[in-house]
Amino acid sequence: MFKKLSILLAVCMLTMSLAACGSSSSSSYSSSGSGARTNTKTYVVSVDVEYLNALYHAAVDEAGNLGVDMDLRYAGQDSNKVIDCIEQAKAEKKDAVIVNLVSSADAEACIEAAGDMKIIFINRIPYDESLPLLKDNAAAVASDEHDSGGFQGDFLVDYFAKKGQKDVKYVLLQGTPDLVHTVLRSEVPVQKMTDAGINLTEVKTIMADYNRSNAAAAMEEFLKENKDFDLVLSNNDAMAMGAIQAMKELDIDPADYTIVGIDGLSDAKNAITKGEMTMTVFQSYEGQAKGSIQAAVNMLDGKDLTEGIDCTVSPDCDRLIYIPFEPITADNVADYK
Amino acid sequence: MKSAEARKKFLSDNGIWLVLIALVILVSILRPAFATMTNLQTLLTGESVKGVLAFGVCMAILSKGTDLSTGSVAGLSAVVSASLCQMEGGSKLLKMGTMPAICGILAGVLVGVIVGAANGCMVAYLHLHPFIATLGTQLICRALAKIYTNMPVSNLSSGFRFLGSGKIAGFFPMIILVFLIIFAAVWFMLTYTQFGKSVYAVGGNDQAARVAGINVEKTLVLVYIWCSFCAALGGVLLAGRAASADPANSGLNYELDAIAAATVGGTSQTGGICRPSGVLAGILIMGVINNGLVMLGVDDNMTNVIKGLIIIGSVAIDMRKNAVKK
Repeated sequence: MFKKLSILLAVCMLTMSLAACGSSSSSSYSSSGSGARTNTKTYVVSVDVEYLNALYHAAVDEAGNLGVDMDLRYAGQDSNKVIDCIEQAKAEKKDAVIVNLVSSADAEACIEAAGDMKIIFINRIPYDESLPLLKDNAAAVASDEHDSGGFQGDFLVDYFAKKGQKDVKYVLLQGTPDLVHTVLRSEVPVQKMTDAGINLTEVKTIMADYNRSNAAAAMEEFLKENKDFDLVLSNNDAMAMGAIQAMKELDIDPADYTIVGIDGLSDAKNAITKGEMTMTVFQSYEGQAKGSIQAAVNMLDGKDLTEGIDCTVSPDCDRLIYIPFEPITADNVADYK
Repeated sequence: MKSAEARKKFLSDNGIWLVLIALVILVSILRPAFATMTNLQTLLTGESVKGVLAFGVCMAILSKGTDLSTGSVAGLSAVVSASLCQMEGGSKLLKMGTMPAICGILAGVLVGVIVGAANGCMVAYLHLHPFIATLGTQLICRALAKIYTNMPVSNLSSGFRFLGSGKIAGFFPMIILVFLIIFAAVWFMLTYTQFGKSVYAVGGNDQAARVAGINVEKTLVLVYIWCSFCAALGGVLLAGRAASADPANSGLNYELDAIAAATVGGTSQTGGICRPSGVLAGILIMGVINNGLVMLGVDDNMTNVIKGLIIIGSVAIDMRKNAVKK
């Protein structure tokens, strides 16, 4: 079954960051399954959205492990092209398509375009109003973004309580504004700290599109004007790393600030080890990649969607499964090396 | 001797179509799934939005100008029109009832007409270089779309979506029909109307056109209105197809693909030369490259390299042809 199964992973990332990174690679991949081997050309596009890049590598590896024949497509930041990719996959008689949405609002058109073909959204989920569309041939694999911001918030409440600090000035490094997880990552930790009685003052919100160099440039400009804040609350690790980079450029010690991110990138773990970053929340790209491919296989085999996947199911939609987040601090960073 | 000249003329007039046919045959041999009806329909559907933009921008290029604002106009038109046709039951940008689809479509198109008139006036009366004038409106329109809403507009009515995703008689995509209607309109305008002849004349030599009694300024304003009208219509189609309009991404960089398609289709950057059938072939060639190379498993970056080389090659051939004529 798995040898015949072909999946298309529609890759949708920032075209601007593609231009900025200046490097990309493509490679040939041989399925490790027994019997007839399939050679799958993979598109591994190196971009600044570092978590997504890691996700695609993991998806390719996992497809190999399961003996799934998988193509990767790059759709840029273009909803129209995502739909083209899905329709093309259907024309090529692919069994399933795994889609990383450009925008949460595109889910409806993607499901329509897939028709009878199985479609699994990975990492970025549809808006709440589109969740009822996740049925029969559609599902989503992500991590519960209430938890990512929640882990940040819980940690910061304890952290500032131990320091005896009640007044906290913070800089928010915000990702792409039109995504569900950007909203939750920005709101939940702030709400948690406010509920715990911390007097929060937002000094600055910097929109950096989940991009390290965008964050570094904007933060450097900001730091020239203002260094009077306590916390850098970042929607992801890449932007947190950009902030640290900006501080170093201006001979400011990042250890003087509390810097938190999300994703658990290796750079972030190294920064935690060195004391430059305070904490991150590990989002298992391997878990999401494996989960999405396993979910596709389960759907095609008529099995339970979650069979063989270490996950929880959303209380709002039984076709939305969550791969758990895990907080990483100086205390447990060694476990994630 | 005569037959050699006739052959040369045939190749010169139809070379672009021969290139298209050769490409289609080549990709079909290498990947038989390319030539299926389903895939060819996907190709046409996918290229329709950029195609509509290309049929607009070819007029600006024909008039010896260009329009860099079409992608942003499409984005602005998409969010404005979509916001008027959001259904009840989800988050709505405007606190009002769902308007009939025609109102949303007209509002989107009106946005285009206004921007086009502004572009035209800047080029015709203020004598700004079209590149600079439309670069300015490109930035302004994208910013206005983001000011209008910082979130994508979704949950759109089925009536509004019909233009972009509906099917006639259950199988023929409406978006392709709109694309063909715009092609027919450009072909008719450029072939049979006084306006079309004026655009050729202005693009060929604006001073001579003025001496011949053509109102150059009025012609240019109408050209840019048409260009932005097409862009706005493209935005409406885009929102209908994607079931959403994103202020940051809808139509982003589409102007480059539209200019590329018009250029590959033989529209001369020096003005005065454009054949609607050539532009159609240019759009289809870009579509075959986009669709076919992906199907062949060619890396996205390499696809862009090939597209870039084709554009450069087309302009080089165009310049050589013009030099020979002079």
